[in-house]
Amino acid sequence: MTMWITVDTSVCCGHGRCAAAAPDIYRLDDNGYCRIESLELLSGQEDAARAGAASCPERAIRIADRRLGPDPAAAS
Amino acid sequence: MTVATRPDHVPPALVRDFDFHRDPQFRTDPFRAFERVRGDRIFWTPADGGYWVLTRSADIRAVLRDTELFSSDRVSISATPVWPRRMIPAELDPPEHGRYRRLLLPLFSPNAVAGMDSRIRHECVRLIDRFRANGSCELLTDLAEPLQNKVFLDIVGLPQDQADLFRKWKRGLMQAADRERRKAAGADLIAFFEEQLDARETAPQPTRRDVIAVLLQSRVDERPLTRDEVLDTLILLFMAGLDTLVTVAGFSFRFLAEHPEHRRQLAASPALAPQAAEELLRVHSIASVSRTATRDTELCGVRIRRGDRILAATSLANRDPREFDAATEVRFDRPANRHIAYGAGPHRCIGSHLASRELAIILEEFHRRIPEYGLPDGYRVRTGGGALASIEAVPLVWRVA
Repeated sequence: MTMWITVDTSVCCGHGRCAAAAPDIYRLDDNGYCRIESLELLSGQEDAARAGAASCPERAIRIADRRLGPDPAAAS
Repeated sequence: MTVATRPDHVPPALVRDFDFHRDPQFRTDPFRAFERVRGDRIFWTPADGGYWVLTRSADIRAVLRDTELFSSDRVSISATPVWPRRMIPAELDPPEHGRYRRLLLPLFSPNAVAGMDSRIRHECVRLIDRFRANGSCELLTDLAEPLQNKVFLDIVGLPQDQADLFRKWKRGLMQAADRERRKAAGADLIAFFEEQLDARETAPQPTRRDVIAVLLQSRVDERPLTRDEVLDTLILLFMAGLDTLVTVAGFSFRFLAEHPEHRRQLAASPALAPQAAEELLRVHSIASVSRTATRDTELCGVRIRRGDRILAATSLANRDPREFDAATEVRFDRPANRHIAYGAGPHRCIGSHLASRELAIILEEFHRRIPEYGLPDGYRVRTGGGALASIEAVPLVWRVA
């Protein structure tokens, strides 16, 4: 089954914990903020993606079986 | 200290006797001292003019993220500021905050920090090799402090030969209870910064980008930064960057000296150091910042008035059992360690990647060379509370073959 990550970049504050856990998935920009908004995972990347999402102090990352739209609740 | 009288909107049932600057319990273990208030979700203390204290991770993160409702105009609860103007960018709110912060971000990004790894490691090993054969060291003055001074002076773009002066000013500014001594240290530090800036403005710029080069060459709102803005930024970096890593390293080594099983894990697998560093940061979260309500509101079911001050203690967030399993236990293999030792929201510590890497390097290189050590018999480490918890000295001893 295809899995997607969705990053709410308006919530990202550049902790960089996602990239520390899964550098191949969560690419950072020159300022150290996650530049992925949504990404379809390759088979075998799921565990690393989950570890990265779970380590985000801002809860900016969601993982689902489809591409997710913006989540207004994510910022609350 | 100004003790406040309870304002009308604060219910008597929510008033607690709490003072994280002066409570003697903070002199032996600030993190355990904070746990005393775990039973309340929110309460009010009359200390230092009166302020609210939050105890749950979710509430603390929500306040740190809501910069519109909770301003950073005074980030320290203490009534005696070390600096007369607002420090940049810590005491600015968005969107103004971002205009200054953005300038510095590339210097402190994970990529930039990765590029400093070998230089930091080389210096760390050099310092350890100086005391390794002695069978003893004082972790702060023999290792963490000289290492951090070098890294700090390097990234800011200040001459390395000033390290001893810096130490004197740091002590004077941050540790002196004496107001005159603090003032004198502050004046000396500013004079030094001014001198350096004058020299840099006339001299050709170095090829390597450092903080001073960025501040002197950048534009905000289509104009160069004023001298005051440059100083307000340098002062912040000095306050936030020079002592914090040293303190966390001190607390980490106190913990390791007293916990042989954790020490052995690190000695057996030095590659564990980055994860161990994050976990040691989680249980030794030294920063307790303040926010000010910008209008009347409700927080955790309690009425808050405009101008009310709120303490966001990262130690309370990071030891919250609602957030972490076995929250007060140290587990180097803890999965998904989403601690906020560096704060949360737009003001997250800009030096976090640098500090984490330095701490990991210190842990790794120290344990490679000195796997077994302890505090001298009967020695009791002294600590302090306040906006940044502090630790005095961490003497370590080991057997020399």
